[in-house]
Amino acid sequence: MKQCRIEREQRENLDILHLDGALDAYSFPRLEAALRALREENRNNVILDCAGLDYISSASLGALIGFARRARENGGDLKLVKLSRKIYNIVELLGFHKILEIYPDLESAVRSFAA
Amino acid sequence: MQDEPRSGGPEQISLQIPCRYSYLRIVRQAVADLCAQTCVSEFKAAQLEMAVDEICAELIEKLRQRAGGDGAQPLLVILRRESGGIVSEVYYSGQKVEFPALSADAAKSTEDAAALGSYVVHRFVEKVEHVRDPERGWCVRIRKAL
Repeated sequence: MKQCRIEREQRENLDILHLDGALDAYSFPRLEAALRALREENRNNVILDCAGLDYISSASLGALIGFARRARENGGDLKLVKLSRKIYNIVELLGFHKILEIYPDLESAVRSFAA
Repeated sequence: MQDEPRSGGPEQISLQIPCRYSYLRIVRQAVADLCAQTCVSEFKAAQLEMAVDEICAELIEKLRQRAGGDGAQPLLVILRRESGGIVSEVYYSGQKVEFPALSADAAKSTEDAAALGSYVVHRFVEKVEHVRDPERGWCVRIRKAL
């Protein structure tokens, strides 16, 4: 189990956060800082690339939902892509798949912002 | 190097961890290992892993607040197989830590980490007890059916 790394990729009107490792209480401040930076820069179209994510805590899910809500109020959204079956199952059981948009791959999520 | 057989393994794992978030991954790894050795499905294992992580994370948060940081006492985590299930016990000393209750609807609109954690625990395991142990202090005991 790796500690989480968050790398930001900036495109024209879109930001992609590539996650690698575990988003737990230990790495939560890194996620908070990344989301705070996006908010401060008024970047509201965000994709979370979860291909390398092997754990996510409830606090992290709560922070993502809060960010998505505020992004929508500003005409944007936060979308999740490439969730493992294990993490998708967790998100689904908690009912959060009805709140957060989830896509199988990066391309379809990018297209959804253009639509 | 050869891996150990999946059907064997210990009946119980005991871990004493410092009251720090950086040790959560060791607890999750122990849960995952015991589940793998017990042939628990990937999904049930992930649910138990998250429930135990949420309990430990909340205790670490509250106990560190009380102690002002690194003075907080360690947590004792005991994971064991029982007939038809896996039990996790997390022991801590001092006053009882209260876990807030949250409905499913409220969970979807809150960002309160403690409340979300408590919601996860109740959603993912069948039994949750918070009891006083005469020797070890308070114990949060959960049971996940296989």
